[in-house]
Amino acid sequence: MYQWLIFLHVASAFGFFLTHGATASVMFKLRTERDPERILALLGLRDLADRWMGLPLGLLLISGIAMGFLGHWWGRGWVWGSLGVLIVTGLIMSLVGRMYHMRVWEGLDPQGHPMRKGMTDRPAATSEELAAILASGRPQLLTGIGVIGMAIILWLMMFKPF
Amino acid sequence: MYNWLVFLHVLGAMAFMLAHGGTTAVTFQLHKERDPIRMRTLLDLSSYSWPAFALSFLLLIVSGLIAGFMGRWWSQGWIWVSLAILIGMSVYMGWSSRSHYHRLRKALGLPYFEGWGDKPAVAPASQAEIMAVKAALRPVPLAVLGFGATLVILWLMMFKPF
Repeated sequence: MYQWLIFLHVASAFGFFLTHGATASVMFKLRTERDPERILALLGLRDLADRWMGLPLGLLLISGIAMGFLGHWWGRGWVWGSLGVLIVTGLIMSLVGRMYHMRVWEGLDPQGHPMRKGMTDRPAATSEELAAILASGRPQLLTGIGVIGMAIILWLMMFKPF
Repeated sequence: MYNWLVFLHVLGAMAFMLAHGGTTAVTFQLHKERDPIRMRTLLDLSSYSWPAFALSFLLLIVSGLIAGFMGRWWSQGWIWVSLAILIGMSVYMGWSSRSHYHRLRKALGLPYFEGWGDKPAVAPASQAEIMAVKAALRPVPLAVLGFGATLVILWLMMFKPF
């Protein structure tokens, strides 16, 4: 049973990275785009991936928490450490990444965002303003934080150092 | 040392999923798109993540092969079966990409791959032809096959049944 939970945990991590990969590649590509139609296509793709990301993330958390109980790991530091790294990485990613995509959506089509339809009457950004918004993304920084966070969590889970 | 190789192998697998995520999402999003500009953007994004895809696949393969020697696993069946599934899946995915997605690239007037080499862009096909090529795309069976094969490999590696 415990082995099957590890299987589910790793499989859901794979699913999570697969869906998250789309949002990461969109963030890199957006920096080089200037054509509004192409930018909207990329934002649509990002929103599709974002909608599916919750399912593997939920499975990842549920299987991880269940394993913590089955393996009696909650008294050990590494499990709390990995949960902490996951929360901090997730918060940074969400704050920086989501806010960037929201800024691009609002710059391009203030009324068009699927989750904020009709919530703003701000005009669309000029092409210079849009270029500045697009250039404000930090895909390398976010990828670095994400990959280092993922490597630390994997190391804690595999080597259980404390 | 062996544990560090397994660590690198799992990290490579996760990075591979992350790098492959853009392409996977594009296959689903293309199915819904009707606008050639948006379709071109999505196909461009798919090619854009190729270096990260290749690098993570290399890390996955090299660490797996070395771990096979260090753990003396080459005399067991599961490692050969998982290698065969990986090769079979890569060949099938490559063939599928060439026969469907590069046909669409050609129809949309993008550079494409045909025969044994890259070909320059040709004049875009008519909207009806583009839609006909696009209608042949089957994202769900491809995703189920790809992720299903990944789960079988994961099961073989974790449970080492034979």
